[in-house]
Amino acid sequence: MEPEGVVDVLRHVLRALVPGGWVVDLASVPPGATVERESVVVGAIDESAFFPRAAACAAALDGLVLEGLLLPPEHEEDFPVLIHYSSGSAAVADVAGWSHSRMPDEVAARVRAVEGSVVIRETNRVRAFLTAYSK
Amino acid sequence: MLEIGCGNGRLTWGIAATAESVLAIDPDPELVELARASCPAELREKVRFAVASAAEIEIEPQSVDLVFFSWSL
Repeated sequence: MEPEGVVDVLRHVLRALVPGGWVVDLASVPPGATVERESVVVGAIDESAFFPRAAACAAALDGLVLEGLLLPPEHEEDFPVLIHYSSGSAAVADVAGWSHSRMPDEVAARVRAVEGSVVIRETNRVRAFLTAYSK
Repeated sequence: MLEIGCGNGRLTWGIAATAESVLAIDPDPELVELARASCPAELREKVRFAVASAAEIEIEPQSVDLVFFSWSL
C-alpha cells in the first residue's frame, strides 16, 4: 500500500466498522530483520527503504486519532516473529518477494551457503484502536 | 471481522478461531487461492476469501466489528 493512499483507505474501511469497532494493525518495525542459523546471525536484511514507508502508514493511523475518528491505542506491543525455512536458499527466495526490502548480495551468498534450516527474526508491533462513537 | 492483506492465510486461521465470521481479502489472486486451499476444514464455514484491495472493496457500512491489517498498511 502506498503511504500517500493510506489515509483514504483507512477512511474507506472505517465506514465498514460498527461504532466502537476495532482497528488492529500488525506491522514490522525496526530493528530490521536478520537471518539466523541456530541463534547465530548470518546477516541482516536491508529494510532502509521499507521502514520510512511503514512509519508513514503508522503516522496515518495516528492522524485519525488526532482527528477523533479513532481513540488512542488501547494496546501496543512489540514482539519477535520468527519465520522458519528449511534452507538458506528458501529464505533468500522468499525475501526476494518482499516489497521494499532486500537481502544484500553478500548476505544472500552467505545465507545460501548455510547447510540446514534458517530463521528470519523480525520485530513486529501490534496496535489496537477503538473507533470513536461520534464523527 | 475483516482481514486486510490475508496473503496465504497464515494469520487467518488463528484469527478465525475466535471470530464469528471472517472476510479475508488480498489483491494477489495466487495468494488467495493458496489461502483457500489450505483453509482448515473446521473453519471453512466461517471464513470467506476475496481477491480485492482495501481501497476498492465494497462492504456494508457498520457491518464489521474488527478490521485487522496483516502487514498491509
